[in-house]
Amino acid sequence: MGDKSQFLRGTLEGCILKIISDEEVYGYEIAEKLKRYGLYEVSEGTIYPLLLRLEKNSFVNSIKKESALGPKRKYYSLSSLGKKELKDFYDNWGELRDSIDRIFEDYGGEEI
Amino acid sequence: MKNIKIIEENIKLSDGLMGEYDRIFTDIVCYLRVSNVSDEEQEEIISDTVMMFLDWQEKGKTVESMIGKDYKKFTENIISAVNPKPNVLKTIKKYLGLIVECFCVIFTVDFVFLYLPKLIKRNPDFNVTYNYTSDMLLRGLIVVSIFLILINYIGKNTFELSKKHFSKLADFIFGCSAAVLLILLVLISKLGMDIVIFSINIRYMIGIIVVYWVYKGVKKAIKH
Repeated sequence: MGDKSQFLRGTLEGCILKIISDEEVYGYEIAEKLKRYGLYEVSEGTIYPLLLRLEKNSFVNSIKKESALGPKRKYYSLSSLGKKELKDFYDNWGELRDSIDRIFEDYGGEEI
Repeated sequence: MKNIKIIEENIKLSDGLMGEYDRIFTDIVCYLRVSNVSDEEQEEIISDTVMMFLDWQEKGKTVESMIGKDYKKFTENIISAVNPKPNVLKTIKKYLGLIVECFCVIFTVDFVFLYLPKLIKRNPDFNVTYNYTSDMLLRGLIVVSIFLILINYIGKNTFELSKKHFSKLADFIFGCSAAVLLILLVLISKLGMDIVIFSINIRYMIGIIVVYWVYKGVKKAIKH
């Protein structure tokens, strides 16, 4: 129940969309940014299937670019459909967060 | 044409993978090959994967730290992200291609062992009739069936098989099974079930065999 990965499952796609909306990024960079925000258990391998799904649903566009250090990298940018999806996610998240906050209003996190 | 370019690029890039990176990448590719994912999407995924693996190799990150211990689950997540719809026509086309290839190889073997000695003996006299008989068909069907079953089995169990260390007994059983199969194939030709299905002049059969091997050669040359 308190497993963080279970919470993340439904929200990670929205977080990825937000990061991609800020700037054009590649998979490893997305994972690093998520870690900087505190999502340490997320790696590039975890987010690749999600990026694939987002691309398949036309929420993100991708382009392969040469890298100065090593192999080519696939950079992602947000499509107009993705912008709408991000807005829908944020609205839904806000409603859910408010509801959960109301439920926990009088809960002080008692010790068991 | 676009697909051929990606295939070429993927082969070139995957040559740069070493050790553990190469082994896990090969397992992922094998598992993808027997999935319902279309050829185009397979190559796209392989291209992404090889680039990621090369990047991790360059950065000194282990595959386990990036995708976890369960590589099969990672590949299944990728497949479900693509959400492939079973396409009956494409599946038939794919298997038909494999069956035709198998039969062309069998035709070549039959020609080399059954007809080439006759032709050499007659000091190239091409007035020889090639008879395709029921026992040849039966042998072909057995070989093709075993080939398709093996391909699917290896693909579906690639992650488990690459971790396994086979005992000498397992190797012996595998060797015996192969020997039994060979004996069975030879016995079929001795059963006398040689009902002629079709007859053509040997020139046409040589033509079919030459066209097939030239096609294979050109395809390989394009890839490299």
